[in-house]
Amino acid sequence: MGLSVDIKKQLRGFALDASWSIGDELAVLFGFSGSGKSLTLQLIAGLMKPDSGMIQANGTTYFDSSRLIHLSPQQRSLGYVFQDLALFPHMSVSQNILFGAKGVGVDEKEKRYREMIEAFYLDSLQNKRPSEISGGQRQRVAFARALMRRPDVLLLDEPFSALDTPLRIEMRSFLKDLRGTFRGPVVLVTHDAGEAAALADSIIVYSEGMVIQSGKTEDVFGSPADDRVRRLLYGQEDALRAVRRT
Amino acid sequence: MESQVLFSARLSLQVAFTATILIVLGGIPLAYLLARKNFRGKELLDIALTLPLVLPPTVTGYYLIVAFGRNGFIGRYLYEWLDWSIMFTWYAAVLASFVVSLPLMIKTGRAALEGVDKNLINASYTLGHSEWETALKVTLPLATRGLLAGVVLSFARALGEFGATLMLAGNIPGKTDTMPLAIYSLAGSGDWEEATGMVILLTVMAAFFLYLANRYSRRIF
Repeated sequence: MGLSVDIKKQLRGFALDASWSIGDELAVLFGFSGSGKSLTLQLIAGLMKPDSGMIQANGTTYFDSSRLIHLSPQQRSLGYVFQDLALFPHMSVSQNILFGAKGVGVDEKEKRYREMIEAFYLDSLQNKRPSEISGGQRQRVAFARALMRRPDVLLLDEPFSALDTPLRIEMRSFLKDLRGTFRGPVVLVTHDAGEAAALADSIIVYSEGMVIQSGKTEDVFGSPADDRVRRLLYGQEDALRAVRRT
Repeated sequence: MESQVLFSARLSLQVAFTATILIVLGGIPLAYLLARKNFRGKELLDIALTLPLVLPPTVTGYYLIVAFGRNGFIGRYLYEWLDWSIMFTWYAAVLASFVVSLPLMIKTGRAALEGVDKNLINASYTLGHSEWETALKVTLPLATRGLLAGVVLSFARALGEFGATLMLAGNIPGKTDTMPLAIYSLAGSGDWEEATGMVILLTVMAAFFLYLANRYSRRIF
């Protein structure tokens, strides 16, 4: 099924013009900060409206300017993990997770909640507030909450950027495990080449609002399309070596 | 004249409470509208609602008479249909307090609502919750302290309202003489002893409400 995106968006001093398509795989949007990666996620989620183009996920059209289709964020089947995780500070861990089960029946909601608590090792944290748990634990709560509605697509906006290196590496293996249960398309935004190399099935390289290369991870790393891509990928040699050692 | 103090204190509280209830019902939705919505004339609406904060209360009172007086563009119809005018009743004191105190609710409330992290609101939307649900379960709860501070400030202001009330409700002994008006009369007639009692009472109450407002405006999370 997958996700395909072909959108244009003009902001003050910045233009996004991105077109790419992925299958049921983990794709990394890779590039420097400010290259339009996070903006792309917000447009996919319907938090902002593209000026023109089309967004389709698992056969459903989310946006199509030529047919005047623009689904609201609530109508799109997406799990979105924000960069700062966006856990509700006034709710407990369990309330946060259950808040993600909008429109799910009572029994089913309880069943899914139990599954999440187990899968994400959150049993002892259920009554804690987000401010009372660690960064890695907050991460897991954010994933559990995003998955409660069984979304078609998972959007991850640099969810590991706030963690220190050992925890980042742990979260990477967690994300690989997650691929065992969530089989739809996953879009991960990062500006960390090591993270991209470690996790991605395919890579979409952004620069200044444009896609400058996309393809299988090994192809992109193996033959960068031009100097810009090479600098982006291999300007971070140290990060790459650190990943290869793990 | 113990009963004068008691009457005025009771009337002042009654007027301030009623005005505050109206301020909560009207002011919080208005603050939400100004904080979260974009529409034409938004800043104009903000200015119109905030004007009573800076205008002399006599000017606000003048506008209210133009609107609600027996010949006013609203008051005329009230008089025609109900044979009733709000002028010189305690309802007029409520109306004056409402209009003069509303800006405090709107200013404080708007700032509190604008301070709620946009990502949390977006997260709620991506989790399938409508704007209405998000407002009730995320935005308003996270702004609770600021909203409470606005409510308390409005109440304190309503309790002390003088100028617009004088123009709209008059200063009728035993009917519309709230504490600030009673103090004016007592001082005018040289009854300093009784005035002093009410002055101290009002000062203590105002200080207490300011203390409450300060407590609420500190962030909890």
